[in-house]
Amino acid sequence: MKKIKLLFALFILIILTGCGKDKEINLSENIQKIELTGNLVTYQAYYHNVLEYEKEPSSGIQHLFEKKRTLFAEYMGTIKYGINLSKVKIEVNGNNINVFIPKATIIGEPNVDKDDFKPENFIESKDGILNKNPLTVNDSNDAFNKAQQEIKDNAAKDEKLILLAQKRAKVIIEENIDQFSGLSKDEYTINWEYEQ
Amino acid sequence: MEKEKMENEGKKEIVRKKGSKLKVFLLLLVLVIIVIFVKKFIISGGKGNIDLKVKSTLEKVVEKSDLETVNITYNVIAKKCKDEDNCDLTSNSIEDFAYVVSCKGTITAGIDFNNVDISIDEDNKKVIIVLPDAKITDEPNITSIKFLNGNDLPAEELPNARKLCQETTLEKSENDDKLLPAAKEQAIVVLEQFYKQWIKAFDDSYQVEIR
Repeated sequence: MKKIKLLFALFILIILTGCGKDKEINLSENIQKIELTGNLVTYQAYYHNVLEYEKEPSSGIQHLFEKKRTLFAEYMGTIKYGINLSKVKIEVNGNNINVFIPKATIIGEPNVDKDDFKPENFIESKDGILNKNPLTVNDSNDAFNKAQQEIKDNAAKDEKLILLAQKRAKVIIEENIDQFSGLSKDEYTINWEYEQ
Repeated sequence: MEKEKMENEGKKEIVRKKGSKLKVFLLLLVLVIIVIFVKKFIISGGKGNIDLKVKSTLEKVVEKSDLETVNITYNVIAKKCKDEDNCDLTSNSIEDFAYVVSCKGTITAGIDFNNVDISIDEDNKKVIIVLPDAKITDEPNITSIKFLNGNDLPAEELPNARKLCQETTLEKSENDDKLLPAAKEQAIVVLEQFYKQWIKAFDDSYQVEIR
């Protein structure tokens, strides 16, 4: 009976040593395994927009009586938001994990569908009668470039999506900490700091 | 007789001691197995069923990241025919229409994550997550209208223009073969980024593929 008691005590000791001091060391080591390089894409916005493009009459005597032309085009495009992972800071202090999440930004260039800028898809204002000011392939290309810039500008000032992208980055990092920590969530506390 | 009795007693004692040693050995063996199990499957977070673990983390990420609903900026051009019975909507000239408006609106699409299919391809060490297609869940919400013919729209025509915008946005969004794949893609992008890192901690011999 004494031997059984002794073995039981030994068992408890093994379990306790497994859950004790090593955990703090392991937490720090485990968290360091999270890769913090490259970009973390957390939102891909889809836009279906209407572009307004104006073509002024050219100068010179041969362009006399040319009319300003306006074209309207519907186009679709996507743009990605995310965070730069190298700016994320994770510090482990005992059972506290302090995490800094940078502000989300646009990742890469917008992806606009060039097929939407075929002349047959445009709506055009009326041309002049005496001297024509036709919309050309160059105008299609300029309109396409303008659309790309428009998506970029709109995305850069869309604070709602920027915040959503940052929130999603937090969720992803939180779940990764949970996975890498080797502990249950109630055994550590995460303190979040967000770049505004 | 007495000697024989003593010999028997001695043998019994040896058997009892052997039995006791065996019990201790078996008990130790059970304890070691328990310790290994507790350390491996409870303390280390449990690397049991990969599909169950993927399912539970997917639910958490979906809920916390609002992946079920997608609001999409959807601006279209709507054309009001001069003569409804004789109207070419494909015409490029703005002059061919009574008026042309630019409609600013939003479309709400949703993905039903209850119908996600998770399977494991053990041969290729792959976790395959198949999301259901996105669906438009609500009527388009028109937020503003701009008259493109150069003048402001007469006030009495505004309700008609709004109705035209509503109908055109609905029709175009329903026939837009890029809209719903894009709505699904925005969830795929997030989940791919998440599982790329997550699977390394779980079992880095696996890959996660999201379709």
